[in-house]
Amino acid sequence: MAATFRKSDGDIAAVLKTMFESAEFKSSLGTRFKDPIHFVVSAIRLAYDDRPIVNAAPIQGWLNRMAEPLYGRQTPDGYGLAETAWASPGQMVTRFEIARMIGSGSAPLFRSETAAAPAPVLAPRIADNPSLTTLRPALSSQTREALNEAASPQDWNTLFLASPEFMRR
Amino acid sequence: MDRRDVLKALALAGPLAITGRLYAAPQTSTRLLVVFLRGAYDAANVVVPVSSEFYYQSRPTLAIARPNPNDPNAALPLNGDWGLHPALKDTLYPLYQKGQLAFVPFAGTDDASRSHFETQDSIELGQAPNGTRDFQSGFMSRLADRLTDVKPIAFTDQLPLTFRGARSIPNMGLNAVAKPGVDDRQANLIKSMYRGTSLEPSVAQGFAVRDQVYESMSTEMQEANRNAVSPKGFELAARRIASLMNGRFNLGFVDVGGWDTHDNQGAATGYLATHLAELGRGLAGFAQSSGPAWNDTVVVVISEFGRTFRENGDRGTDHGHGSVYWIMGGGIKGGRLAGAQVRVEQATLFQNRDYPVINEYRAVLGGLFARLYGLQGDRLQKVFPGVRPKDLGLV
Repeated sequence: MAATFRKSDGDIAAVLKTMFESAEFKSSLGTRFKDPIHFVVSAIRLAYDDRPIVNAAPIQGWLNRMAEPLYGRQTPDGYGLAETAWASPGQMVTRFEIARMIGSGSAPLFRSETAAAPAPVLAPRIADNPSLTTLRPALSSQTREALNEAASPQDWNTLFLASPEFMRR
Repeated sequence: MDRRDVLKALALAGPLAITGRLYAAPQTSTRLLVVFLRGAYDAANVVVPVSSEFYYQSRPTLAIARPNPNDPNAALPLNGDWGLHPALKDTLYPLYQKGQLAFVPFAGTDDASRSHFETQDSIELGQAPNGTRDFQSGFMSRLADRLTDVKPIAFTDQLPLTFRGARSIPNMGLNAVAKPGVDDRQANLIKSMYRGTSLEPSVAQGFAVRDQVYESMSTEMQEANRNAVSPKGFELAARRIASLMNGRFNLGFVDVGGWDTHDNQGAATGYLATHLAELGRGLAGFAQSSGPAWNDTVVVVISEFGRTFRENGDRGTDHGHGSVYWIMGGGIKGGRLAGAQVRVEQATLFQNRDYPVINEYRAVLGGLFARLYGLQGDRLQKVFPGVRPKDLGLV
């Protein structure tokens, strides 16, 4: 990274590219438990890629349900970063409910308040997302088996977003 | 049988008939619920030191008037020295009169940080003072480890510190229970994905508790349709807790926020009174919904610290020290103030501003657990290391 920095005259994008492509970076992935904001944002990105979200209210609602509302921490120590703060039985079940809501595409993320007609509900097709070519090989055999049981694309989304692999980053 | 035999028989039957049960051996039928009032409730305006002239001098706008049957805003007499906030007249006062509620004044911790989260943490962890804190070992988790046939649960959205520990303990907030969207087929597939992973117990427990809660709620919803009025807020949650604890769980924790009354807290009426009335309806509703099991139930109400004895310039009170803890239950020896007491006057205040702590909570709860569960010696020391239990004779 230092060599890239010198060679590129301090081009941050080039320095980060070197980091992202390093073996150390790859081996750091897939271990840390996602906190709710990371879970929701990564799920939405996987579902809708770079399509702009018009209505963020459902996302805020999900964060509230998972007890990590934006700027809502009561004490000055900030939200917990460790798995123990977010992986209790009740929190896991809530997370699966939210996986289902995102997976079914029923939340009005693209409905603007000013639009004359509501935008049509658009169920994401996570299985077709290009990122899956890199994510798929990391899935355990039991996760693959469960995904094979999916009854519909929405069901597949839900199961994928609820999988143990998707809980970690 | 002559009159003398009848009297003898009554005398023998008396104590058993009155107490209903004895707590000599570890009792798995015993149910314990710990209620944490987060934010530090203003104990001095709830259990009011009515015989203290200093109290009335210190709180010119906030004080609750001395007991007076003709004044609905006056304190309700507990004994010659203490009175209860009038907002609890129809809910907790009858329980006190029946001997099912006791107050432990001057209770709390030796932590004098006056920081909400520091003190909440140290109370929930319940570890020896001055040691390094282990945030993976709460006192209710250690208690659960010492009991047989224990079925613990936290009725909160997040697992509280007090239930962190070796075993995975379920949690479920009860304020917004809806029909689960993830159906049984999906739940089974999700469980299969987690088989053999570190999260397997958490996921399995989460679904199991979800189903139990929903099943219990369905019954409640059917019942609610028959009655016109349905409870709200904490009363709703507390009644749900009671029905869930009937058979399913026997060691519970719930927290209630909104007690940090720095300004305009009100006196006999106002913010604190309204909030207190809701808490009272909740706890009385819990007692009622428990049915016969209420006789085997103990509820402990705690808070991180008390508030400044003198009111501040904003008609509120600030972070203090000593609090008043409550012990409730159908079989307890209540109807009194329990534990050590001092006169409430300026000279007895801690740092000339707050109630002192002379009933340290680990000692009080340790003494309670010793009686409730027969926990002695090493087993009790595992729950509260270094504690010298204080038996208040409540159970």
